[in-house]
Order: sequence, then C-alpha cells, then structure tokens
Amino acid sequence: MVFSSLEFLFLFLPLTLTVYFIIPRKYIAFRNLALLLVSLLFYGWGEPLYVFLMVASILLSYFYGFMVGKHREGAPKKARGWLVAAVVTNLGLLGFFKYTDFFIGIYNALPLPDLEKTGIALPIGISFYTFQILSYVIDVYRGDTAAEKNPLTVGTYVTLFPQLIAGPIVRYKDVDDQLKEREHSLFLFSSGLKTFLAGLAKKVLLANTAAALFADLKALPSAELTAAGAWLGIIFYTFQIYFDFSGYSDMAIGLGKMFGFRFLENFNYPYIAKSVTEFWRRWHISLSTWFREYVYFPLGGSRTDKKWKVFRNLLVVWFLTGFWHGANWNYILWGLFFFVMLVMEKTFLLKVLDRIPAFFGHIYTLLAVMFSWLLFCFEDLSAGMTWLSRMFGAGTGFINETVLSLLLRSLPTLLILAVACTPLPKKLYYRLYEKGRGWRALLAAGGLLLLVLSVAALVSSGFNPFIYSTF
Amino acid sequence: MEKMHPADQAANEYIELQRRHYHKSKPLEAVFVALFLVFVFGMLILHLALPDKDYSKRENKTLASFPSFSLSALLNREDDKGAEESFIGGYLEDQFPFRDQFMTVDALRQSLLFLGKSNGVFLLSDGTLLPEEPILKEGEPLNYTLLMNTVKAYEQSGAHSGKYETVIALAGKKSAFLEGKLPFDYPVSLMKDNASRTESILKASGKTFLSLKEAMMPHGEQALYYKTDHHWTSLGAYYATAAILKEYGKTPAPLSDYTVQTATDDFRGTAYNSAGLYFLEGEELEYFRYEGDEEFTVTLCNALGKELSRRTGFYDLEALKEEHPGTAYDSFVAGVDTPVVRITKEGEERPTLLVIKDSFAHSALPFLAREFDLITVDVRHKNFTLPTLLEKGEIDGVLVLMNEETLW
Repeated sequence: MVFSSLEFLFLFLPLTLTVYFIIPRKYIAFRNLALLLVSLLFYGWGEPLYVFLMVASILLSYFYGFMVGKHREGAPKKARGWLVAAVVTNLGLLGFFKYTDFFIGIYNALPLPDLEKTGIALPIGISFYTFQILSYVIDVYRGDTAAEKNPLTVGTYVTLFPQLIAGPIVRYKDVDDQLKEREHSLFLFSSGLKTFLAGLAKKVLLANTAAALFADLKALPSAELTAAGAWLGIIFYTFQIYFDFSGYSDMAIGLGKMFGFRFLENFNYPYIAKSVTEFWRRWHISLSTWFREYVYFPLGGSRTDKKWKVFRNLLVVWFLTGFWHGANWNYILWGLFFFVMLVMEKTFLLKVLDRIPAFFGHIYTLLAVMFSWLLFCFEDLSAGMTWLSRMFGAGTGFINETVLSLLLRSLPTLLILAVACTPLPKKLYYRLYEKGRGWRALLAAGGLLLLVLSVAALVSSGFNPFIYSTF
Repeated sequence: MEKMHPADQAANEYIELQRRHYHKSKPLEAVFVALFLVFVFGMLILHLALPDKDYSKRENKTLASFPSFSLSALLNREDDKGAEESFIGGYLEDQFPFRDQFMTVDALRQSLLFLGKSNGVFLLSDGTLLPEEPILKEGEPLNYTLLMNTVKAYEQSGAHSGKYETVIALAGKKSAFLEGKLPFDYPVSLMKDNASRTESILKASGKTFLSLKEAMMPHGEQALYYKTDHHWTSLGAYYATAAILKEYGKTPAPLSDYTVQTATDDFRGTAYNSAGLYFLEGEELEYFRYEGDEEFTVTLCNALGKELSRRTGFYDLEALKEEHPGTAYDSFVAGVDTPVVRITKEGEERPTLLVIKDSFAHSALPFLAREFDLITVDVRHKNFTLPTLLEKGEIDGVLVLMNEETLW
C-alpha cells in the first residue's frame, strides 16, 4: 500500500489511528504491538506472501542482535562471527530476491547453456528494510546501542509502516529510545499531520502532474519529440522524482510524528545545490548517511594514507549506491556517473566552482543531475541515449506545435514546480505562521484544502505510481 | 557525538517555533486535527453507509463492485502490480462518496493549472468542449485494411445487386469547423495533416470518395456539432446526408420539410464526460422529424443479422431517460454495440444501402432512410459471415460513413 491512495487514507489510517490511540498511552509496549500488527497488514496488503519473509527477517535480526550483544563484551570474535552471519543472511536475502535474475542475465551472455530467469517478484521495500536491519545489528556490534530484549520492539522498528517501503532509512540508534518512550501530544500530532499533508500534496499534486506531462512527451512518436520536447521531458522527470520521493519522505516523517516518532530529514532542497557534492548532502540523506557510516568509513573513508584508497572507497560506495537502486546496468552507470563527478569535484572542480559566480554552479549541478536522471529513468540504456541525442537535436527539429502547446500550457505548472523546489514556500509559511492566530488558521485551512485537492486527484485518476517503491 | 545535519537542525527549529506558538493556538490545532479526523472517518462511514452504484451516469461506464475475496485470488495476484494497485483500490476509486463532486474539483484544478484544459479536453470561451487532436501513427491506419476487406466482402458477395458504386463518405471533425475559435495552441497543422493523410489514403482506395467536411463547410456558421460531444448535430447530419444523397443522384428534402423536436435540453456528451467539468450545463439535442418517420421499422439484429428486437420509429426513447444523460445520442436508432440494424419502410419497394458506419452515422440514418432501406454494420466489425448470409441481391450499394478517428 502507498500513502497516496484512497485505501490508505480512508481505510488503513482510520483503522490504525483507532487501534493505536484506543490503547492508553502508558502502555507503550501495546502501542508498539499495535503498530507492528498494522504495519504487517500494511505490508501484506500488497504482498501477502512476503509477510512471512518479513516475519522471518525480524526474528533473524532479533536473534543476531541478541547474539552479537551477548558476545561483544566477552568474546568479540564470536560477536564478529554473528555479525558476519547477519550481514551474509540479510544481503543474501536481498541478493536472492532482487538480483538473481540480473546475474542470470549476465551468465546467459556467456557462451554457455542459458539458464531460465526465475521471475521472482521483488518484495516491496526489501532494499530499505534490509538496510535498517543491518544498521541495527551493526549498531549493537559497535556498542552504539544495546541489543533489544523484546523481539516485538525489533519488529516494530523494522516494520514501522511510515518508513517501511520507501524510507527514510531509520537507524536503530536514532529511534531506540523512542521505541520505549516518546511524545504523544496533540501538538506533535497536529504538526505531523501538516507535514503529512504537505508530503501528500507534493506527491499527488506535483509529482503526479509532472509525471503525466513526462508521460505525454514519452508517448510522442520519436520524430515528433523535438529537442525542446526532450529537454522538457527530462525537466519534468527531474521534478517528478524529487516531489515523488521527498513527498513520500515528508509523509513518512509526518506520520512518524503523529505516532510520536521523530525521524531524521531525508531531503534538504537538493536542487538548490551548487555542486554535485552538495547535492548529495541534500538528496536522500538517510541513504548517503547509511553508506557513509556502514561502508565508506569502515573502508577507511577519506582518512587513509594513500590517495588511491580514497578513490577506491568512493568507487565502492557509488557502485553499491547505484546497484542498490535497481538490478540493472543503468543504475550501476548512474552510480558510477556520480563517482566520476564527485572525484572530479574533489580533485579540482570544487575549487573552480568556488571562484566563479554561484549561478554557474547551480546550472552545472542541475545539468549534471538531469543527465543522471536520464540514466536513471530509462532502464533500457539505448532508449536513454536516444533521448539524450534528441535533446541535442539529432533526428528531430527544435520544436513543433505539439511540444510548444504542451510547453505553454504547462508554464504555470513549471513555475509552481520550480518554486516548490526551493526553501521559499516553507520560509513564507513560517513567516505567516508567526504573524498571528488568524494566519495560522488560514494556513491550517490551506492544509485541509490540499487534502481535498489531493483526494479529488486520487479519485479522478488511477495514475499514481511511486517511483521509489520499486527499489 | 555525531554532528546534526543542517536539515534536522532546521526541522527542530521549526518544531520549536511551532511549540512556542502552541499555547496560543491550542483550540485552533484541535479544530484542525478534528476536521481531518471527521473527513477521514466521515468518508469511510459514508462509504460504508451509502449503497454502491453500478453505473456512472456521467462517464457512461460500469463501476467496479466490491471485489469478491478469495485467498487464492489474493495469493495469485499479478505481483508486478504490487502495492501500487491493491485489490480494493479500483473499487474505492469508483465507489467513493461524492465521487462526481471530487472529479469536478480535480477537473477545475486542472483547468486552472493548464489554462482551460482538463483531462485532455479544451474548454473554449463559448463553452464548447474540444478533445485533443490525436497524433496518428505512421503508416497505414489500423482499421483501413479491415474496412477495405469488409467492403470487398459485400461487393463480391451474391447479396450485392451491383446497382450503385461504393461510396466512402468521411465525416469531418468538430475542430475543422472551429477555425477562429480554436485554443491558442491548438495544433492546426497536425489537424490538417491528419485530415489530409486520411483523405489521401481513402482517395487512393479507388472508391468514390466524398468529403462531408467540404460539403458542410458552407454552413459552418451554424451549430453543426454539439458543444459537449464530438458528434454532429441533427442539423450537421442533415447537410452531410444531403451531400450523400446527391452523390446517389437523389434530391434531398429541403430543411423546411422538417419539424425540429427537442429531445432533451440536458445532453452532456463525450467531451463533457471526459473533461470532468460537471458544473457546466447540458445542451439541446434535437430530432429532425418528418411526416411518416414514425412508421419505419427498425430491427436490431445480432452479428449474423438475426433479429433481436423490433420497433417502429427511429428514436430509442429509453436512451433519453434521465438516468442515462451521457447516452442521449444513442437514442438515434441504436447504440454502437448493436451489431446490425435493419431499417425498412413497410409496403414500399426501395433500394437497400449497406452502411458500414461508426456512431456518426446514427443521427444521419433518419435522413438516409427517406430514400433507402438500410442495413448498418459497424466499421470495427470483424465478422465476414454476414455478406454470405444476406439474400441474393438484397443490397444495392455499399456506403461507408464514419469519421477519421475510427479509421486509425
């Protein structure tokens, strides 16, 4: 189930709120249990069979965490052994479900008898929850947190429905205290609800609109696309993926607050970055934090004696980042593209960017990011490259009346999308918020209006795919 | 201690800011949360309380009913749909309380956002709704081969007496008659290109080609097409059939020969239904009545020409009923899903035209029937048994009557 659906808003959410808040707040363990159960329902809604896989994963991670915790003081070698076992099991499951067919594809390219692809369906959210489980066991191993004694608490952590299928990737040490004690208040609920509504509007009103416009352009016969159309298309996709994903994160963070959890932010206006390095400090923060903490630093990070090791470490991280996004070459290339960009920036480009007006940095970053989305959105590389060649006018004119029409009609949309990418709306919101109660009432009414508009859009259209839920 | 990310710092500052103001606006926050809960729970309760509808008047479509639940169906679901579309999603979408009102809200949002265009339909300043110009595929039209094979099947069957040459009459599109009123960005050259591509293919077929657009153009100032629908009005159909009848050497009856009867003043056509701007008003749908037109026998048949039902008079008043406002156009003879229709005038021996048609023909049939007995077959019909089943010499000519988009 995704948040931006009628069944979430009008079936799952009322049910969950009832079950959760009917339990007196002093029985936090029961509230956690309620969350665990509804989260399993949330998960099983789309993937009934994989609920069993989920439960097995939870029990295993509880067991591994327990064993690592038990031995880390007295028998570090044993603890290490259990940690390795945990990593192997979880990555093994991820590898099996997500990457088997990809590797069979590679094997079949060899001059050997072909193997049949398995056609295994990807358990939704497995990339996200695998990383959460790993963070739990590793944090226990490192002594950043104690092993949890109650398996239900581990279960609640892993399955917590707000972040279950598309992040943010919550580290255990960031929520371990909250699992035992957290703030339940009208204040936090209301604040979370506003965050949720903003995220819902981002997804339903902004991302879906951008997606539909991109789909219109993709549907054009190749010769009709034109250079302007190809640029416009990738611009729409650039907006779509940001509002889709950051909208989802906002909804997760907002829902978290409604149930008393404080998750860390996942996006920080990535498109206002002045370099690719900065972009990655602002985009999908929980993922880059995860890789930094659990891969890059353990490899030695940038504090190594030899410069080549830094590059090797970056290469590993960016290869994995790309591969994590999907079992396909385009995602690997997408990751490697960022490796190249970041190495270039590290060696000389950042210095250059520092010296020239910020404007050029913005343009350069946006172009680099848009190019990366081209790799990202076309799983078929040759289709992506054809689109790229169209952007530079190969085999097509500059603009035609179809594309011009689409451009003119979508000018207001483009303006809204562009402004919504910047911190301006939030700044304006809080400036008004501080002006007085009348303004706050107006802003709250605005939030409810967004809800009605979003529901109207959901009712009138079945076009509602989440880009990130497939990873 | 790990350094806090600036984004988290900012988020915390904002929360603190909200907290500082909270004591002053506690009732406000309570009302806000309460309204949200009322909306979410209220819709759920309304949904449970209201009976499901089978049919949407507006969209003229059957609505999804509650999915029958079975464990095996759940477990064997196509998994690539995954969480995007659960088994209950379509049902909720279709049966949502105040569905029409929500759709209108969304259409309004779209038309504000896209400068008067919603769900792919343009709203012109005079209230005309105009669907988008389609981009046609390269190469030959999808239905062209089928059409020509059908024509050939009738021409070569023993049923054809050979009296009349086959005529292909192509209906113009509404947009062609809106010059000067078209939206600022309407793809006029695409529109002209589409029309000329279709025409040149049909002209090359070797059959007599008749452009109804050209025939109707001199009357372009009049209301030849519905505002809310893509079809021509009865007036438009009159001018179109006048040209067809002339092609067959007949003299069409003058307009003054007809009495205009308003069948409904609340017709809401296809463009209306897809635009979703349900606050717009309906329009008039007229019948052009003439003396004796209620005496024609209309026989609805299955694909093999076997009688299903029979009535006298052209107009199916059932389709006019209030619960079907989207189908008022179907009151012309029969809806598109009736495979074969025979129209005869009792006690008169007249030549018979086999009309290979789309829905544009429906409102034209009363005019054609003044001169010919008619057998109609839908152009998208793929069954070639009918020509062999007709009686020897039963038809005297083949008329193709359809609009450009049906061919593609």
